[in-house]
Amino acid sequence: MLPIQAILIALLVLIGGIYLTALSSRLVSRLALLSLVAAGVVCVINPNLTTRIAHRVGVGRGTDLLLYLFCLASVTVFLKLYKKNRAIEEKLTEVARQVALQGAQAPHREA
Amino acid sequence: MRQPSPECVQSRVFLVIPAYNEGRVLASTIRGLLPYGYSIVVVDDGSSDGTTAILKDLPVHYLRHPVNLGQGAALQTGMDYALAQGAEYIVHFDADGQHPAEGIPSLLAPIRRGECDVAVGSRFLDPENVKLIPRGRRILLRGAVVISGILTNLWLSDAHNGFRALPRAAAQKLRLHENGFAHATEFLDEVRRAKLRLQEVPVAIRYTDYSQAKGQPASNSVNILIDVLLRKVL
Repeated sequence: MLPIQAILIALLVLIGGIYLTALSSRLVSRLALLSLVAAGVVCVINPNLTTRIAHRVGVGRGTDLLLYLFCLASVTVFLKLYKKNRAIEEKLTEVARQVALQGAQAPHREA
Repeated sequence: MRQPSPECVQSRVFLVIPAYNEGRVLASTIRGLLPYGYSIVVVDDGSSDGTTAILKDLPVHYLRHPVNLGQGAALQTGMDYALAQGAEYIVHFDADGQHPAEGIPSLLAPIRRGECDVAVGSRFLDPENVKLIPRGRRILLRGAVVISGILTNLWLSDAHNGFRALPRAAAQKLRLHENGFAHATEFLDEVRRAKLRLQEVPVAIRYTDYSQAKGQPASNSVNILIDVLLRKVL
């Protein structure tokens, strides 16, 4: 095994572990994450695998295939974050609105 | 829906004024409104310029967002409050004094006559008013009209005119989720969704140096458009 392979696998497992414990607790996303880490490890151990898959789908190099997938994944993540951000914003709005309504000062009637 | 009597008490008309760092001009806008006897709701959108102190001695309803959320959010907060206070009519009014107080009865008139559910001010219905609009802004607004028309399927003569009036029943049906300036398009969306009848009323807008400097810069229109599009898609 090349040193880079050991490093990549160690990092993959580490990142996977952090995600599993700290972030999402939904079963579906946990399973997705585990299979993603597993796929990553397989690709690291067997670098020709991605190239073979790439050829199958008409892409020249495995690296390019990974790049395309990475781009798609980035966009997906961006959209998910955007939605999440909107949801948080709406909650913040609701909280701030309630604070404003509760602290509302009616005009003091002067004679 | 409660039947509004023609000589409806002025104090049942609630002016909702969102204010974000409007400072002194807000006080003078409010002083200009006081003689009319409307109920005035100022929603301080997390200003940091001491708006609280400026308004201290004025007879207005004062609400404050603890953080700045945007004009759309402030309008919605003000409407929630006005409805809770028993408002018969709600008027969206600008803090910087660009909306003429004399325009308020004109906006309310078609609603009171039962001709429409929502009245929106338009700078373009009266040729005399159009002349008051700076040329660059005029072109920008014409473009906004087209885009807003395409997106909301409501074809108006003016876009992003913040001078609006609606009766209680209509206000209860609308909900603005768009915190920023895209709320103007969202407002029309909501009007259409709630199947409310909308009418435009000619009003003059006063373009003072202050409102020009304070108003949305032209470049912001692209931002608003992107906001609107994103909301449509996602």
